[in-house]
Formats: sequence, structure tokens, C-alpha cells
Amino acid sequence: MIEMSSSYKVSIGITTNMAVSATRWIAKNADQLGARGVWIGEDIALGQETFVLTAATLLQTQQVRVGTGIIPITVHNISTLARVGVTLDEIASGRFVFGLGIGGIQDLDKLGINLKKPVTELKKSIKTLKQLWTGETVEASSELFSIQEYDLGLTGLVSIPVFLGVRGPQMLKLAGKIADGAILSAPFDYLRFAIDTVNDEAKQAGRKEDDIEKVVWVPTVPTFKGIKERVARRVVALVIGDMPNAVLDILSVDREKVDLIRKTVAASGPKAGAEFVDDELLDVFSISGTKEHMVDRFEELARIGATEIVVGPPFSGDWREALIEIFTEVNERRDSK
Amino acid sequence: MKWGVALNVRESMSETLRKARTADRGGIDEVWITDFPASKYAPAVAAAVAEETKSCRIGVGLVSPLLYSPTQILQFMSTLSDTYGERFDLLLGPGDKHALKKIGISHTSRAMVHKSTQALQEIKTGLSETGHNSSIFLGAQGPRMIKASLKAHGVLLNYSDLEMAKWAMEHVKDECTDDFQIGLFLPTYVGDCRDFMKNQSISYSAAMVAIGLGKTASESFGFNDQIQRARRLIKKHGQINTQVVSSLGKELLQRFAFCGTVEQLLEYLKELQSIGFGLIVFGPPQGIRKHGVDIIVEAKQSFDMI
Repeated sequence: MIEMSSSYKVSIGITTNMAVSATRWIAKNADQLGARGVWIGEDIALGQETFVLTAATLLQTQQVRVGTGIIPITVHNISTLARVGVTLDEIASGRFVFGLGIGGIQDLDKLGINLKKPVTELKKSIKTLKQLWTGETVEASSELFSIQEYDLGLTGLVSIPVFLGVRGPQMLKLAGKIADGAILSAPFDYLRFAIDTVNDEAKQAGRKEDDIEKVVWVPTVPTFKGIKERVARRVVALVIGDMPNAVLDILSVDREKVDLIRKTVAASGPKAGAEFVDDELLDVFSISGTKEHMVDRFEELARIGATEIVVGPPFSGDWREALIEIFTEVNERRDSK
Repeated sequence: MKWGVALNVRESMSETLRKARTADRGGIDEVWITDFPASKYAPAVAAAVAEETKSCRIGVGLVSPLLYSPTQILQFMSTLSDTYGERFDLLLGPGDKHALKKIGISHTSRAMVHKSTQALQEIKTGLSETGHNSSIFLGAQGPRMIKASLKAHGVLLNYSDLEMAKWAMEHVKDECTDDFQIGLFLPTYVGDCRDFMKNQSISYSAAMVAIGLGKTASESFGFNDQIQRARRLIKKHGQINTQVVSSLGKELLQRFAFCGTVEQLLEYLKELQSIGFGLIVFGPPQGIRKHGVDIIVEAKQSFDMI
């Protein structure tokens, strides 16, 4: 067995396009499973409303941290994001983390959103949100928003940890400079580069590596509990479809096959793209297999600097039992150290 | 007559929850969670209120379709009902033009009405298709929005004056179905109102509602000039202040708010009921006041005994 790293935490990832019964089960069991947190991804305009789901998850848990992972700043008014931050922070009593990002390539294309300077846009948005949370009256404008003499009417400072969902090199550097954490989703080879980039940039900005949490959220496929492989392949196709060239350029994967998947996903959706996802790509872009193998892979990630690893989705087969067994495996290894 | 009280204006979450519990235990039918320009996001607050209360219905709004897409509104209403049961209603309306402009949202009055009615149709269809029983109200003052509300489950008017209320009623009474709900959502201060103009909490709230009145309605009642003058002052000062309030004057402001004792409130409600109003929502400042909800609970108990 690979040597255990006790430094990393394990969380559960859910998305808005899951049934209420599934997200409720996860919220009700997260504390008991020993999860560090629950991360909530927004599938734009699909399923549950992301902020109500986040509020409900906070209200249904007592100890775990609950974070958005991520909210695309491109589809919400900046004043709404500021107000949501204040609201969820107050519900959470210190357990809320605001994960923000630009959004997935496929989604933004569909919505006709094409930012000229996405890194600048994200930076401006974070700066504006932080100003509003300190109680300032703000005048600011960008490609996405324009606010004039706007304030939240706060009576005191609100301090909300901001994590950035980032992939490309410039975005990674931005996270290293200004974020409390980075939410990373990419194949292992790229994650090494991503974590190093965040850490290097943090040091250059006079911060410590530990000041920035590195949360790794890749698809997890527990094949030991009856998950349907086609579900896993569909998720990986979606991930590949959203993967920027900057990431793919670093990987040693069959680029022709990857490009074919991207084109197919863009034209006909992830279900069609899944046909071209083979075992090799499944392994590169997801953590799959037995619980022992999956936890081995978590530990590999911890050794390259991940501070937190997110399990799920896809949730298929006997996923409840799979989650219990994965957390049991993690906790037993930790206890045996 | 159903009673509602509006919360989440600028109080802390714990205060909102405390007041929601008081309203729920005291037999208030509906707790309304206001949204923008309130500093907290209403749907998330509504989730917290649902966790803390048992029987009251929970209204979300006023929610502006200029700020949120119909899809997002439909999503948060569905998610609330799927998670906490069929207890949620929605109040749609364009919202405060001045406040929206501050966050980069600017439309003509006609476009605001059009967008609100379009959103209403989409959300109503969506909620019905997914089997939810939420009532959707349209917030209205002028004849266009009042007429548009006929496609909703009800209308909530933003004035207190009985002459104006009757005038609004005339626009819908012949066309609405039996289950169409007609109510008022108005600035309220139940207590000593001998010096209305010096009571900033109620006079400012009334002024905010009054200046939103459209041309047709304000001309019908002969106070278009006063409202235009007040709007110019707001533009100049950037906010409502004593000068704006003075320019509108006590007589006009009192047509947009209820300010009076419990006894006066009960008399007023009896009159409203007699002309066909079935719902009243007590808007700010009543819900902001420390004991504002307790006062409403006591008043309702007296009303129920009549």
C-alpha cells in the first residue's frame, strides 16, 4: 500500500442537476461520514437553484464546510453575488466558502457569452465583491457589470473566503495572488503544473503556500459498486469538452481522439461524445476503480500538493454505499497511521 | 382576510428568523421575504425561514424579472417547494427603478411591464407543469400592471387609500375569476402616528412607493406634479430625504401607507374586506421594528374575534 498522507481532507461534490432526495441524503450524512465539506457545482439553468441548494445544505449540516464549486460570475448580476455571499455567510456561521469562476466553455458558448479578457473580468469581480463586503459604496464597471454608488447597507465587515475555479495558467496565477483557495479540475499531469503555478505565484505575492487551499475535484467513478460505465464515460466526455487547449497541450494523450470528443460534445452533447472515451482516457480524466485504488490516487494527489479531494459526481449504481466505503477506507488508513 | 408580514428588509438573519417564528406561532398566514434592494438574497432566506416555521406560507418577493431570468426564478421556486413542501408563493414586479439603475439595470416603464408579464407567463406555466401549487402575484400600481395581473393568481397593490383601492378594483372585478386574490402590500406602522411626517421610518417608506406610481395613475388622482417634483429632487440628491418627503406632503403620502393604532387598523381592514380585498401584507417599517410582528399578531387575534 502507498504511504498515507494525513494532510489531505476528503469532501463530497454535488451538482444542481441532482435530485433533491440525493442532495439531501448527502447533506444529512456528510457530518457522520467525516467529510470536510460539501461542494456544490452549478449546472447552469439545470435542476435545483444553486443558492437555495447551498442554503439548504448549510441548514441540513452542522459541521461540514459548504462551498459553491463553482458559481459562474458570467450568469449572475454582481449585486446578486454580493447579496448571496452575505446571506449564505450568515446562515453558515463561518462554514461557507464562495467558489467563483468564469464557467465552462460549453455553457458559455451556448449562452453566447464571450469575454474578451476573462482573467481581468474575474479579478475585477472579486475586487468589487470584497469592496461591497467591507461596506464600501462602490462604483465599478467591466465587460459584465456596471454599478454606481451601490452598497449593501452592511453595518459591519463581512469576511467570506473566496476560492477560484481555475484551469489556464493566467487564471492559476490569479488564484495564487488573490484567492483563499483554488478549485482544480484536470488530469494528474496538469494538476502538478497547476498546484506548482498557484504556489509559485503565491510566493511571489508575498503569501505562503499554505495560505491557499488546493481543492481537487475530478470525476470519481467507484466501479466496485455497480456504477454504469457509460455514465462515467459521459462525465469524462463533458470534462474533455470543457478542457482548454492550455491544459491539453501539457498532457500526453491521443490529441486526435480528444479533439474528436470535444467536437462531438460541442455539436451533440456529452452522451454522443462518450462513445469515443476509451479506458485510457477514463483513467487520465477520472479517478476510477476499487475503493483501495481510488484512495491510493487521493494520496498521490495529496503528495503533489492537493489539500482537499472531492468525491463525486457521477452518482450512479449503489453510490450511497460506495461513498460510505470510500470514507471508511480513508478514515481507516488515517487511523492506522 | 389573510394576513401577511414582510421581513428581510435590513434586519439580521437571526432577527428575521425570530420574527418569522413569532408570526408563524401567532397565526399570521404568510411571511413575505423581500428581495433586492434588501441586502440578503430572498430565496436563501426563505429556505432558512422554512426550516424554522411550520404552518405559515412563505412569500418570496418582490422579485424582479429584470434582475433574475425567468428560469432562475422558476428554479428557486421549484427548489424551495421540492425541498420544504408546497408552502411558497411569489410576488413578481419590475422593482424600484432607482435602485435597479444603481446595479446597471435600466429599462423604460413599458419594457419593465412587458418583461414582468412575459416572465409571469413562463414561470406560471413552468410551476404548473412541475406540479407546484405556488400562487404568483403581480405587484401593481397602474392600470397596465393591474390588467396584466389577471394572468397571475392575484395582484398586490401598493397603496392604502380606499379611493385608489376601489379604482384598482374597477380594473379587474369584471374579468377576474373567483379564485383571483386581490390584496394590498403597503408600508405599515401600527402605533402612534400623530406626527406622520416626523416618523421617518413610515414617511420615507411611503415616499419610496409613491414616487414609483406611473403617469396614468398619478394623473387620475391629480398628483402627477407632486410626484414629478419629488423625482427631480431624488435625482438631485441621489436618495429620498426630508426635502423629498416634504415635497410630497402628508396628505399624498398617507394614501400610500397605513399609519395608525390597532383600533384604526381593524376599522381599515373591515372596510377593505367589504370592498373585496382578501389579503393584506404589512410592509416595512412594521417588520423591521423590534416588536413589529408581535403587534401584528395581537391585532390579528383581535380581528379574528370580531
